[in-house]
Amino acid sequence: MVDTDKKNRFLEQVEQNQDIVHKICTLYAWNVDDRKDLSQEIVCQLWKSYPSFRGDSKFTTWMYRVALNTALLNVQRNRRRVRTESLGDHHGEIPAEPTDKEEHGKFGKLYGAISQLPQFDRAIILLYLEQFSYRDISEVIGISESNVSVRLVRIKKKLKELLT
Amino acid sequence: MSNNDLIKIWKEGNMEMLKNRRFERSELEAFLKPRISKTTLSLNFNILVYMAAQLAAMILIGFDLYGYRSNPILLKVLIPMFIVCSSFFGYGVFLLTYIWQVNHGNFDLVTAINKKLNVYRKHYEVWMWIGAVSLLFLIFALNTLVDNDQGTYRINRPVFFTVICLLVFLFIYGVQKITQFFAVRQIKVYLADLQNDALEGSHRIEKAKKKQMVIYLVLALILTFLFIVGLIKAISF
Repeated sequence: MVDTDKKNRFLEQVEQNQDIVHKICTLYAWNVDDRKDLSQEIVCQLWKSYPSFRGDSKFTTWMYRVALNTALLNVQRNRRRVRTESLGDHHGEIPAEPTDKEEHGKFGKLYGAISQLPQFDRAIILLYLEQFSYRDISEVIGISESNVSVRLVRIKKKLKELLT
Repeated sequence: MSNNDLIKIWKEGNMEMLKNRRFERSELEAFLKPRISKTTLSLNFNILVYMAAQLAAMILIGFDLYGYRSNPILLKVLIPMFIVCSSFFGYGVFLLTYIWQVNHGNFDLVTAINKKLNVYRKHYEVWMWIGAVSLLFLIFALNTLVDNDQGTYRINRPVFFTVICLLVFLFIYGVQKITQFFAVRQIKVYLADLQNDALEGSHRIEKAKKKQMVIYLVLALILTFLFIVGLIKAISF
């Protein structure tokens, strides 16, 4: 009974914040199948890590942390990605999918530019665009606030270069 | 383009993009069924197999301790063996717990990567040596149990015995290292890349992969040849 309640509470929270899963999957997976796989892994990992959520931080902050961890540390999919990159001769290609975002002009370009950043920088800019404070970003990523600030200056500069 | 513009584009674009992308509750529920990662499975499986060998060795050493209770020399060998073996078993329990914590813990990205790297760079390397020693202990415990002659056990050719033990040890370690080398190295390189925020290592390993395949093929051919020669000799003996 308690487990069912806990599961329902968890599913409710994830359902409310599922945009986080979609955004991360779009940034870190390369096609529809990979995105679906990654979504499943993220939700599954969130459930496995749910007991470690003590409510010290906001649920969304915790969710970003676990979801980004899963996306970055998923070695199986990485192998596929590494192969794609070696074939493509350059990393960070704009994913071919989804086409809908490319139809949205500036947004498509922004997504494309973010996709060309190194993986850690992608995570940092994602949190910045989601209007996380430097402190929250440093908590999720595990680097100092000053480091977040320095890296963000560099990332934003790079993004603006890519967008012009 | 100002920073606020970036945030505005991001917000509006995502609202539009995510409008048609919603998971149903039933879909989310179906996602909760865990999929087993092959890498973690093989890692855990390897640890469990050697823990089983350690447990078997501990039981056999226990029998040996009883069988050789009146042999002070063997007791001096068997008691430390038992202690070492149980320490190895304890290390196995620690390692499984550590891996579980890494997979289920609430760590920031850098800590999670460092912890994973720690498993592959340090603990798992140590575990492969431990595995080889554990099997050697198991073989020795079994031999002493079988060769127990009313509480005595004799090594007729100590130098030869030592050389064989050393070879067996190196063989077990070598087999483990070779079979897992590429998979473990790939993971290590990827994690190190993440750590360094660079991908040079991953590209390097793709190039090295072909070279290693050739080496493995040559090794396989030599070993097959030796095996066939051995078989022929054995049949004609």
